[in-house]
Parts: sequence; structure tokens; C-alpha cells
Amino acid sequence: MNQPLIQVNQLTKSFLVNRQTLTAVRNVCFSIESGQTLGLVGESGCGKSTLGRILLRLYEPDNGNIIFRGEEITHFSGKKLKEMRRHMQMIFQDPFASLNPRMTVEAIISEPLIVNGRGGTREQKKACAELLDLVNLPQNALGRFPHEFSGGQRQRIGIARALALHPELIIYDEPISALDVSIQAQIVNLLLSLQRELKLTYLFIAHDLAMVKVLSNRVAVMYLGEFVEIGDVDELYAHPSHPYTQILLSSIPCHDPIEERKRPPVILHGEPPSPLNPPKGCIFCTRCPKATNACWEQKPELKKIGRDHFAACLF
Amino acid sequence: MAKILDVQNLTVSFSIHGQQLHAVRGASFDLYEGESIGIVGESGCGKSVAVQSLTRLIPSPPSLIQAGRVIYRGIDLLQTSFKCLRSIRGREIGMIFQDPMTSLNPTMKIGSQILEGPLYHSIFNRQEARLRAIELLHLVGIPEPELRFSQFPHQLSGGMRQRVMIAIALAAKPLILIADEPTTALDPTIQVQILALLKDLQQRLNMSLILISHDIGSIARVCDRIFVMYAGKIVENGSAAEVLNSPSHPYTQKLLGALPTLKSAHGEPLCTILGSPPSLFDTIAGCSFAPRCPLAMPICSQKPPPFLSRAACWLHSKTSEENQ
Repeated sequence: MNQPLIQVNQLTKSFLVNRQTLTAVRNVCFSIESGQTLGLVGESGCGKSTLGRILLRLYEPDNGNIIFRGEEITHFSGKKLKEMRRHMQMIFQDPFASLNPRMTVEAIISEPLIVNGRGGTREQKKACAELLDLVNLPQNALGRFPHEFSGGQRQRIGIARALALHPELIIYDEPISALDVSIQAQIVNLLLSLQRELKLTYLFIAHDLAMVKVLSNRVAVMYLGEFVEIGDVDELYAHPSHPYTQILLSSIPCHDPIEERKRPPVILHGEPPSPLNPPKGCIFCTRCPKATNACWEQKPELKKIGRDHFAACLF
Repeated sequence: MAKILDVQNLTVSFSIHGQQLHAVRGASFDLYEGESIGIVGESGCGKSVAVQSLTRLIPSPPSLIQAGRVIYRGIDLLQTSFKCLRSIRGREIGMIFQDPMTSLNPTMKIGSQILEGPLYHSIFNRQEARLRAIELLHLVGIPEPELRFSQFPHQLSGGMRQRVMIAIALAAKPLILIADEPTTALDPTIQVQILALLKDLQQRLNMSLILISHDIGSIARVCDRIFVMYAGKIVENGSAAEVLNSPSHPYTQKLLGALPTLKSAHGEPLCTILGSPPSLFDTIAGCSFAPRCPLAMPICSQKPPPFLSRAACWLHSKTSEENQ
């Protein structure tokens, strides 16, 4: 077994909203081995993005620790934090909002190099050209501005910028959900080939379970700030154990109408409860079709149910 | 069953900075009574413009309906008077828009938004209006409809707001319901709820449904027939089973190949369509998919393909000639 590149223990983060405490991430533990991908799925507002941002230390966690490359980085600051962040990059969801419209592509891609004082102007220019090749953009893109590119191309610019400092871990926050189907496939293939070539480690946040399956080695399912299930991708998709995972999987439409009619989706009633006021017992008990009285009172812990497969359900 | 809507060669363009933007380039589709059809296509392919042009909802200028006929119960909606259109819009043809967050008026209570249309069309009288609105909220599965009646949109979640939008569209008991990407802005578990609700209401109220989506999966769940749209044209149509199980146009084939399913394995690269869709400003001489099509022949970029059997593709015309 490889040493995990990043390990997270008991991570908790709350925000104050109108003088009420909103716990966005509660007691989350996981690790990602070098060169692997962890897929993180969940509905909007369940805390996936917050978790990704805590890893980068864009938010301060309230509790718990983060161990990255064998060092505890939870309380890094100043120079050490900057040095650490070089190895960790993030790709954001909206390729239209995450690139500065007034900067040329060259300025965007070389900004991390300038900030970190890497090389002289000539070397930076050369690095930019190489990065464009890596993400399959034409060389004449360097002098152009973001508005001249389509969504998929902009996402490639964002990826080139993230790769500029040769990071080890890249956090993708829904990188493809704003793109069209035919473009999504292009970006997913690019991510797969970059991972192979550059031995990158990914945390891939998404809500599309089918995409996550293609990219990930392990998958974590998040609901209302907690992990309800985590495990090896094939194991988890073949034998989903938590009722929420089962319902999520059944809600993915397959493209075969005949099979589709045979397999009517389980319709989950209601909506996630407010994270300001989560249920006391199992967080899923308000919508779970299998919930019993015990679920409302007792909080289930993540427990091992197979080789590299953990779920938080009393049953 | 009778044809309720027949759209022929609908062509819509916008004039932007003196340039012509061709949003819809001759789309044709039809809808029978009590049937549900799906129009699937990528963003910018003209699906929303096409359905909004049916009742001329897009202001003109900048838009210009250049050609086409929309025959609804013997009336050409593109030629008819605005007075006639007003009696059809919202009453006989209802519409649900994509974004439930922005399509409700934030300063109006839910109840008055539902009642605005029916009171205008004098379908409800003022005495029974409140009761009917609550009935509608109940019909679309909103818990505590009496409470919701006097709430504002910001007090409701996205799924709830989309249900309110459906209630508004259903208030006048339309014959045709057009749903333009009704689930795109919602979470997967809520998407399933809304699609099931639409399907159920369509069958119960015996409406015709046009569902617009970029997600083939959600169309497969609801629709009887599917129209595939690319660069402003319908490139393929057929029953849901035909289009999804044996796609006939290369674009549909590629599109289905690009979608991962739960059966695809980890690390397996997806099939991709090279390049991007054509610019809407260009005029296209031949088939709009030719530059990206792996099976393109010389004729594909010269002459527009004829619509044969199920798809607009030169490949099929070649095989049909050989058969003759």
C-alpha cells in the first residue's frame, strides 16, 4: 500500500449564518493515495465545495487535521502556507467566472509562475507554450483573451494554469458541470491522460455519478456535511450499502428506454433538511425509506462493511 | 390521434451588430394529442429559441422569424394576430422555463403568481380563485399548500419553485405543455421527482408535452418520441427506443457514445466528438455536422442532406439509392 498523499481526520467546519451555526462539514475523515482519484458526490449544499476549500486552507477548519505529504498543514501560515499551496491546485466550476477577463491567456497561465518567482521572462514564456500543448490548445491562444474561447477551451486554460507549478494534488470543483455533453467527454479524457502522464492525484467533486465512476478509484458520498459511504469505486457501485447511495444510483437515467422502464427510479420524497437544523440521529432519517425509530435517535458511525468499503447506516 | 401542433421549416435569426445570427435553421417537428416528445441538443443549438418562437415569445426585433409555419389546430401561429396569440399563450399552450430561481417574480406571493394568468383569461372567478390555486399547489405535490399560497419565492427551495412553475403552467389546463430544461438547475434526486411529476400529470390530464433538455437520460424517462437538434436543425427523429437503441445520425451516435453510463469502467476513455459546434454566424452550405463527422463524404459539405427515414444524413440517401 502506498503512503497516502493527503489524509484528513475528523475535519469540521461551521459558519455563522444569522447568528445560527451552520455546520457545513462534520467529522470527515479520508485519505487519498498518490496517483489516485477520490470522487466526491453529493447534492448541492451538502458541503462538497467547502471540504475542497478547507484542504487548500482557503477556509480554516474548526476542528480536525490535514496531513499533506507527511506534514500536518492544518496550522501553516505565511511562507510555509504559500510553499505548501504550490503542490495543491484547484479548478473551479464556472470557466466563465474563474478567468480574469482583462488578462491575456499568457498572463493568466504565467501568473502562478510570477507569484512564485519561477524563472525569468523567457523561461516563463516557454513554460506557457508547453502548458498549452499539454492541454491541447493552439499556440496562438497566448495573446488572446478569455472571452474569445468556448467553455471547454476556458476550462483547459484553467487546467493549464493549475498545472503551471507542477502540483501533486488537484482539486476539481465540479469542473465539467457547466459544459456540454460532447465537451464534457473531451475534458474527462484530458484529465485521465494528464493523470497518467504526470502522476497526479485528484479530488474530483461532482454530482454526476456516472462521470465520477469513469474518473475515480474511490468514491465518497456526502450528505448534509457528513460522509455516508466511502469505498472502492467498483465495490461501491456494485453493492451500494447506504440507502442514500442506492437512491442516488437509481436516479441516474440510463440511455436505454427499455431497460429504463424495467427499472423505475426510486423516488425520494422530500428535500434535504436545513443544515442549520440537522436531524439528531442519522442525518438521512427524514427521507430514508427504511428509517426506523432507532435511526431518529442513534447516530450511525462509518463502519467497515467490506474490503475498502465503509458506510454509516445502522443496518 | 390527431396532430395538435405541426412545425415546418421554422427559421429564426437574430440581428446582432449588423450580423445575422442563425439560431434556428429550418427545424420541423410535430406533436400529437396526448403525446410527449423530447427535443435534445447541446446548448446553443436553438432548442429554446425554437420553442419560444412557437408562440412568438421572443421579442422582434432583434429576432426575426424568417420562414416556417406553426400550425396549431388549423391556425398558423406565426401569421395570426396578437390578440389571438394572447388567448393561446398560457391558456392553451403553457410553458415552464428553465431557471426556477429567476422566472418567478420575487416581489409577488406564490398565490398571486399562480392566479395571474387564470384571472386574466377569466378561467377562475375571484371567489373560487384562492381555492383553485391551493388545489393546484396540492396537485404538483407541495406540502402545506395553504401556507405556501401566501409565501414569497425566496422562502421555497429550488425543487419547490419548479413545482410552483408547473402549477402556474397548469393553471389554465393547457392542451400543450412546453417544459424548457425543467430539471437542469436541480439536484439529481429532485430531478427524478420533477420528471416523474411531469410524466404523471401529462398522462392524468391528457396533455401533450414538449420536453427540452440537453440530457438524453431525462428525455428517455419521459418521452415517446425524440427529436435530436444540432446547429438549429432537427438531424434525427424517431421513437425513444429507436433513437436511443439504434441511433441513425452520426451525431446522435457520437453523443450517446460520449455519455458515461454506470457500466463504463474506471479509466476507460470516453468517445469524444472532435471540435465544437459551428458558429451561429456562419452560413452552412452542406450538413452542419460534416466538419466534426468521422464518416463525412465530399458531398456532405456541399449540399444539405435530405431527411430520409429517420435522419438528415447523406449516408442514408446513398444506401437508399443503392437499394433502388
